[in-house]
Amino acid sequence: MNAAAPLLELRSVSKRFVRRPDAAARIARALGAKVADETVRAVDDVNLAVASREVVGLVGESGCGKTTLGRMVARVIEPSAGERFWKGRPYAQLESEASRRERLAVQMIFQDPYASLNPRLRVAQIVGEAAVVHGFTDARRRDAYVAEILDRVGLDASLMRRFPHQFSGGQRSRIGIARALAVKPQFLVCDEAVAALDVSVQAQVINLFMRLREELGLTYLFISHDLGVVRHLSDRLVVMYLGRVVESGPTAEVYSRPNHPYTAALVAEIPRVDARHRRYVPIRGEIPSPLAPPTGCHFHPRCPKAFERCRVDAPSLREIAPGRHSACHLNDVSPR
Amino acid sequence: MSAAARPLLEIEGLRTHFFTGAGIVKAVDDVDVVLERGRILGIVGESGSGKSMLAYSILGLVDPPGRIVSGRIALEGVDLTRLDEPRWREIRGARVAMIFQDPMMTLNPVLRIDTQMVEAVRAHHAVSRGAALERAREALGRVGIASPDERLRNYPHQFSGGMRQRVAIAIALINQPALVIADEPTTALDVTIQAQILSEMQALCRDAGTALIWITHDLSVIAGLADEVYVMYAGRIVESGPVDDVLDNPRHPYTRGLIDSVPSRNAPGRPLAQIRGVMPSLLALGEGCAFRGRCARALDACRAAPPMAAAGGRRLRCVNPLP
Repeated sequence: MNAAAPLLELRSVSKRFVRRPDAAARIARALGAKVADETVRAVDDVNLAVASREVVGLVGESGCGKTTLGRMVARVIEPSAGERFWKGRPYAQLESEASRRERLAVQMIFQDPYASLNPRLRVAQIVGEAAVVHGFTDARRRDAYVAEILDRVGLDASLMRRFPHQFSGGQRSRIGIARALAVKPQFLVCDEAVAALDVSVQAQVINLFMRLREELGLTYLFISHDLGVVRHLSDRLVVMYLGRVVESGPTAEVYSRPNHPYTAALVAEIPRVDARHRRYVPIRGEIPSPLAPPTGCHFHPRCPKAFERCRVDAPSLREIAPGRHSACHLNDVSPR
Repeated sequence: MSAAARPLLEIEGLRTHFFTGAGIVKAVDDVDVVLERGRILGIVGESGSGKSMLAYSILGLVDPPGRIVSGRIALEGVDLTRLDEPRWREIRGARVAMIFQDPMMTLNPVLRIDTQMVEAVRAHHAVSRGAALERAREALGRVGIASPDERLRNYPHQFSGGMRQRVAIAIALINQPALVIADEPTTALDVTIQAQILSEMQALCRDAGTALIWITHDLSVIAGLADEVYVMYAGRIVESGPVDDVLDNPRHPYTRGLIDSVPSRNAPGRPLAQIRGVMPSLLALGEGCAFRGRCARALDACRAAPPMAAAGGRRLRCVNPLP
């Protein structure tokens, strides 16, 4: 294994979803009409490297592809193109039985603490099942194993005979986290893991994530639409818009001096407790349909600084300062 | 007293209770609210605090097993708790309107937008279909919907989430109500779309003199939008006052805890200040302060119901407040 290799790396990863033609379209096509398949480029040529023990925040609005990207990292879905590496080895090499433990190293925490737990299983089964199947413990010692993990995430181990509906939202989040931790992962993909929680409970769960990182040496890909949460947790920020990464860099820098106009707008529009009686000056327009993304830079129809080239030419993600990348033509035009 | 001198909305001692098999849930318990014309009032609380039930009580939308047990809700001098259903139909949608978190609570999925908007106008005004359609067109334009003529002929599913919420807002505002109640209308939306809707709501209230009650769990939205804030916990208002006063100098330990747990108020990477525990079940509240089990400043005196104390435009329900 190459020691310098990042823990996890994506190279030119894309995911396209193709909608199969319905009956009418198939008939039309059989009769000679030109009916194109509808293709969504959910993730379009994304590179991402995450170092061990790093927390990367992935932000963007609905439909930007952040969840799809997270799912490809966690092996829930396969990319249409591009390669994924774990500690320098391609994911494809990890398919063998001998690499079973390596495959378990990436786990996912889901958004909805209600829908992601089987309502008919007790907590001991939800948390312990995978650990038994993969040999981290056996059926006889399962409950002791589960108790230890529940204790780690701040749940009373005596509750393991209960069903998910007997818990509050915050407790369910902890169960979801415990389930992921049960197979001793090194990397957690957290997809909007605190979005469904109330403010006071959200703070408790964010603190839990930070404590677990310290105690277990975990690495996170933290996906969220909430820049306040991501800013608090992450070392590095990656901003996506309509399937492409538009900016990345150290969180504090991106936050204080955003380069891409989209990032600037996102940062400006975060509601803040200390900003009173604001005059909201929003960026115009809606997020375009990913079925028919705009030409050139996807952001140009909403961008206050767009010029001719943005309409025709898609900007590539380039290094604008050490460790900072941005995909904006303005960086070629003049010093900003 | 003349109608002009009275506040637009006065709620006194409102109690909305639910009589369930497991016991009585006091969803709204002894709530007082005063709102002047054209002002924006933010109600902040977590799930189960009773903030939505307060809104439903004002609009007469509480269904059994819940009912308003006592109290008075006066809108423009009319006590809404005493209205019969025919009278409600004259007021709801005309003088007071509601925007829900899910715009599909407002919209009928199988009717075109023009049908729904024309119906909303003609339910309250004896105007021709053409005149009502003209109003609908104007209303859509006001909430920032491009090419309203085309969009009027669409069905709700042809709009994005943000656009659908705008249509719901346009319908709420179409009869120029004196009061609009919005229940977390931007929670499901993205930040850039949320900012668009907040800016439009602000402008609409400013221009038309409409009063707005904005219900949310998000203090930072209230901070940017509201003139006054009411903090609700387990069915009761625990603190209220002008937004700057309350957020800069919270006196109730719960308000303080809410403000401190917002990530942007904490140094990045440091543990967030957190309120320990969770909200107690409304079934097992008892008499005393509902927050005392989570409160670091709780005293023996907190076992008795804390009275509401008023001073200088601020009100507070706490026996051991922060200085």
